[in-house]
Amino acid sequence: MRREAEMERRGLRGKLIVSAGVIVLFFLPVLFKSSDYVFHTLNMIAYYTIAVTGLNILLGYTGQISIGHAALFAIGAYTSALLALKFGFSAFLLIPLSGLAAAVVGFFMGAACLRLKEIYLAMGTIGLGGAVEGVIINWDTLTGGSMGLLGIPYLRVGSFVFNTQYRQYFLVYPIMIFLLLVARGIISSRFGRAMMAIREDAIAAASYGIDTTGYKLLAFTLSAFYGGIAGSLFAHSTGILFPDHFSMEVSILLLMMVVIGGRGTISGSIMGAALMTAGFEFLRGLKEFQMVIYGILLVFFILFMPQGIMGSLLMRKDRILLWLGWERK
Amino acid sequence: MVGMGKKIAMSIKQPILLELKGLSKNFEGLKALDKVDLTLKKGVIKALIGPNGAGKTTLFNVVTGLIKPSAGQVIFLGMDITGKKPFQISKLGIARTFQNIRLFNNLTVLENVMIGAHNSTKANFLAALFRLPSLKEEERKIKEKACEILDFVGLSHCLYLRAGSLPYGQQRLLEMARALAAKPQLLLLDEPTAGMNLTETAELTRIIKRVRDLGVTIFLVEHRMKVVMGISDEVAVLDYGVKITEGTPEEIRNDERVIRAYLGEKRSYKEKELAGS
Repeated sequence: MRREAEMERRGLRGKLIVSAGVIVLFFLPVLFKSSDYVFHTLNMIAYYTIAVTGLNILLGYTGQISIGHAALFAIGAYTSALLALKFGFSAFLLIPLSGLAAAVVGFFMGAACLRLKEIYLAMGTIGLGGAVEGVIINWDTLTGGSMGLLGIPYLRVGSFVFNTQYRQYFLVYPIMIFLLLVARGIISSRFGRAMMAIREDAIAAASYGIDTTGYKLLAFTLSAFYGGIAGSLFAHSTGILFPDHFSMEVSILLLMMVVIGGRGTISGSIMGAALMTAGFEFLRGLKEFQMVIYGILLVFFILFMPQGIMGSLLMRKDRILLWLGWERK
Repeated sequence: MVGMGKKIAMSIKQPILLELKGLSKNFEGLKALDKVDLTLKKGVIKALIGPNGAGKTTLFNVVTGLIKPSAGQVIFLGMDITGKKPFQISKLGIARTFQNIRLFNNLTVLENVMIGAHNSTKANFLAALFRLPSLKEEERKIKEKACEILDFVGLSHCLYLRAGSLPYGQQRLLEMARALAAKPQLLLLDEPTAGMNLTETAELTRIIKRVRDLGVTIFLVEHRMKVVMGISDEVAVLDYGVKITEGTPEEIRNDERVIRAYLGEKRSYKEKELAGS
């Protein structure tokens, strides 16, 4: 029980440090009067973080791979864009509705793939992702096809329009933090434990009352919801949508972010999204040659750091804290 | 003597907990189970023995719903549970351990046991999303319960270790703890002492008896005759999917058919070993 009290105290201190860190980080770019470009990059990190968190729930926690996740990103983006163009809804409606639309599609994707495992699941999700891309390209009366969907209005609440990257920053980050907290809530509850049990051993999980089918569907739906919201925010930020934004390359990119950041850790989703997005910006001059670097990076991580950056750090948490002098033996 | 009291109580009519009626399972022409009838009275320890490949684990898998039987019925508490899904059967109060340990290796010891208690958690999705007080209270209770159970099996020193990092014997104990967390009425143990040393085996035997005394009915598959004869109230023998006999440990020890099933037609010195242990 003393150990429990100690854990609680340590947990509280950890919470305080993290909250303070988040607040400081949030206002840092504001204080430095950063350029629109910096805010653009930061916002991109947030979209990816949301989508990657969703994928992490599915891949990292439930152990179900998906290489079709860009499709859910696309569903969210197009739903949001079309609703805004046709009906002029406010952000309050657009964001949740696009999340829900993606969740519905994700549910059916999950249902279609329920019996597939591992490599077959990967192939199944590639197929479904490709199917969604195909629909977007060919249903050109609705989506603009490969010509793209142009002139998507900015998000607005009442008469306030989020028409600069700086303004969007104050919309996107609170949403991201809220979604991260929600994800953490699910993960640390019986739902999260059930998902992790399925990842570890589906047969044992089922033998202890866990409805593996139900929880897999839940994971697919939830991760799609996250993808949809990310898509919605992205669509209104760029103002244009092309099918290229949602190709299989993007699905693989999301997957890489999960792996590099750390499967099964929420902080890993942030880390993966931030590193890769920043990397894109730094290496922009290399154009297609970038992919070579990412390929090598991915192989490196799979071989030497399969838990990803945050996964490896968390595994050595006690040792690192000791090294920093925060912990007495 | 608690044990003696139990034995006497058992000879008086005890309600039937589990009943298998004509249970058969064919794997592509191989009869893994052939019209097995078996009953399990409440509060007993019943052992299921038989040579390798006799169908013991298959029988467990059928009872827990992992495998659908080709014919026959599984009746638990008077309810036909044949063909129900494993998670549904688990909710009715049947827990099991596995012959080839199936822990959630990358989760902590504590988390493993908390997952075992999945059926007794009720928090809804909204409570989890926003970490409402009701959820925190439930989590605290489950954690406490899990710690108690880990204390009971003697694993309270490694709550936060990765389950996969435990030594083999302790992994078996952890499987037992996880099963107990499910608060089962019927506990199926598939070779609980396999790979354990003598001290660990003695410890586990003691735990199994204590669990029985808590009112849990135990059905176990076991190869070590010493364990089987020492703790079971009843023994059933399976050979090539057929139940060849059933009775008290003494009756089984001296049964011709059992000796034949284990040792073949020609008798050897091993027979003495079986009879003597």
